[in-house]
Amino acid sequence: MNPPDLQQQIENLRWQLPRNFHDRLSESLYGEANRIASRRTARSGTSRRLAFQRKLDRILTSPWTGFPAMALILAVVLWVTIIGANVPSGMLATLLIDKTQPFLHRLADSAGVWWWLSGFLIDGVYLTGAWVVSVMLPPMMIFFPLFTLLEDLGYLPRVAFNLDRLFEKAGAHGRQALTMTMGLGCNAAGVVATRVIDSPRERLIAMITNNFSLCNGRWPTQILIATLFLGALAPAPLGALAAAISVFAVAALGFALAFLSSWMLGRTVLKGEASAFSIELPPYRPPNILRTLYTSVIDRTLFVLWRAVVFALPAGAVIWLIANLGLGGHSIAWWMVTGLDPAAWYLGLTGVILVAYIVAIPANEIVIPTVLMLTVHMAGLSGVGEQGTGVMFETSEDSVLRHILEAGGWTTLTAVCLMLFSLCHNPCSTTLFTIYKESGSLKWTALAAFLPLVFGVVLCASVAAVWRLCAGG
Amino acid sequence: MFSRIHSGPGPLRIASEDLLKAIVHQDRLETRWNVRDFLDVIRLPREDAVLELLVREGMISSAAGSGWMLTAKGRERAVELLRAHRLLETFFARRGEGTAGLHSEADKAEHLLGTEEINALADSLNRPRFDPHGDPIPPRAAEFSPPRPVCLRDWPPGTTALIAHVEDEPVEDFILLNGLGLVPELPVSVLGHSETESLLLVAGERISIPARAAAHVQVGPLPEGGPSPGELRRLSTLRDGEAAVVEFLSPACMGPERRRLLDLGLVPGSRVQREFSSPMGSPVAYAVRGAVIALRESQARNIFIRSTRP
Repeated sequence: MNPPDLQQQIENLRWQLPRNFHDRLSESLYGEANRIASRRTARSGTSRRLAFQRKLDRILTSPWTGFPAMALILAVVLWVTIIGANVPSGMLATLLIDKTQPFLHRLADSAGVWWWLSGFLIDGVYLTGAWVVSVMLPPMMIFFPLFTLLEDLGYLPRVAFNLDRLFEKAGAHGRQALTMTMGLGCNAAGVVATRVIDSPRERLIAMITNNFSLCNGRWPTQILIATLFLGALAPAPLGALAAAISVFAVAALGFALAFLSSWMLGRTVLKGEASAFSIELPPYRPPNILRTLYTSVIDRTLFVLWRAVVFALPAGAVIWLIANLGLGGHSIAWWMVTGLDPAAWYLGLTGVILVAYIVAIPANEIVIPTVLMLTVHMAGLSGVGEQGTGVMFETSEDSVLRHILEAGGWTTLTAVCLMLFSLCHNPCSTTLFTIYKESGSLKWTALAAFLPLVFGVVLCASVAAVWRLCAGG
Repeated sequence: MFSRIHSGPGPLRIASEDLLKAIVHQDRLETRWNVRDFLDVIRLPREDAVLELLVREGMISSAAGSGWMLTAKGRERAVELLRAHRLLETFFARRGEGTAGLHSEADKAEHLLGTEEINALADSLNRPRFDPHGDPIPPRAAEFSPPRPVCLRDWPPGTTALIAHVEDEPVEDFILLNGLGLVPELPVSVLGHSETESLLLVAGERISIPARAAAHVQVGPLPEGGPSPGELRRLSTLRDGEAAVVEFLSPACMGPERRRLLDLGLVPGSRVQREFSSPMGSPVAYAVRGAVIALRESQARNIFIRSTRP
């Protein structure tokens, strides 16, 4: 038979195949694999474990108990993280800030280094780096292993399973539930986690909206401000509860905004059909502790911490410089705060807060220390913050804190707006850089930066306007 | 011979190629035609110039008496254009883009491809035989005689059929038919026709199709040994704890999604059992081949099953 005839014959035969012969091929592969496997495996009855798994699944995914169980598990993880991180954070702060920083100063003095150089390096660059490490490292060391543990146990796929309907309605991927919960630990890690989403469109939605998950760097701010200002509104025994409820409300608002913005993105710039969602629900199994620790510490904690430190160091330099460099008799910080004050008023905030958010873009952790430093700097308070001008500090005395902030012109409205703005503002530079690395696009990175900012401005401005209207101001 | 790359073909060439495609589409490869036969499907801005171009290229010649005929070369090019169009539709569909916009995308891109590129596209797609609408894709440089399906409106009531083709124009009707889940290769029972509608039984559900849309559906006889429409159900109709055997995946489910489902073990012959559903009803967890997987309702609708109980 000559080649053209053969080709024609092949062509004719191809048209005689049934249309679904690819499926039939998969089918026969499975059948054959099954046949080989069944020859060599022995089964002994149905195990009690299977029944236990079923029961657990019923509890964790039923309409009545599924969501409360989810909220409870999440609350426990966050509570353990926040409470558990206090002690090691304090120890790290003592070591790096209370002990090492004065030591470095003495070293610099004895070596006769100029004051501005030691100030720039030690009070600016070093202090910020030390601050970021002592505030970020302990919670991440606790949160990420707990999170990986839940993943290993098989619980996280159930979370995606429970929430998928909401994401489907928002035109997003069910696995966004996982990246959003991951974002509660750290948004940069949450953005990296979006790799589990195959569809590029839905992955971008997950990346851009991840910032609405309140991250570790913002929980302390929320808790502090809620305790100082909102908790104090309630009668003393209920203060802690009122504070906790308001923080929870902000976190819940974050989730709602994440759904809303996902829905908006899916209708506008990231239009497209919802991709398929199929997720395997693996059996519950005892976790591998060593592997859990390794993956969460190496892959997540150190990775994120390193990026944060790299971005925080120059920020430290900038913070020190704006407080110490003068222009026409005032520091740069003074000019910035004074310049931003009128705009901040409309947002229910203060100029100090806006400046702190601008210079603290590298890490949300240093927002409150920067606010304190700037407030003292502006008000010229005596008796607090004696480390010198342009040096960030924190104080454990709530009454002192409140005294400082009220001297800076803070009211309950400021506290509420700050909590909202802390939820809705541009992601930290670590997260932005990660979004850029993952998406490879400046356009989407810019959208991720400005979308929450727009939400924040609108939200704060309307709250402030309504508040002042009601207060008759 | 046509392998040069048409980088930005002019409006005249596009019009001439549209005319060739209309000819093959209406099965006029071997017969005499006039330009006005096609004016309701294509727009020819400069009729004379288009015909002149085709004559110059040796694609058409004037027929004895009146009208035009395609030359051998013209027939080859016309079939090639159809091949390019259907390959492109397959390409866009497999990329996971929705089915509604396929046609217009392919209409734009087909003028840009030369013979070599069309063949390369076919190779990269693993030489598909049918496009997403169920139409056969002409093989390269061979005589092409498309199978001739029958319009659904003419199919005898009370019998079974296999959907052979769903016309993608006009778009409103196509979207309607798509929404009803009517896709090529779907076995159906034809219940009856009336002035205004055609009634089908698909996987246990009665579907009424407006007569106008039904005219765009073509059907053929069921292949032997295939599933009979009466036994079929959709996976989404299973109740908790109920089990069934997978019969086939709907052709509407394609590309990466189809591969993923096949990888998960949802192949014909697999036993599936509905385990439990999520708090808001969808997705639902199914046990398949020793694993538990969760599928959204829209996916489960695309998986056809046969109940294990008689």
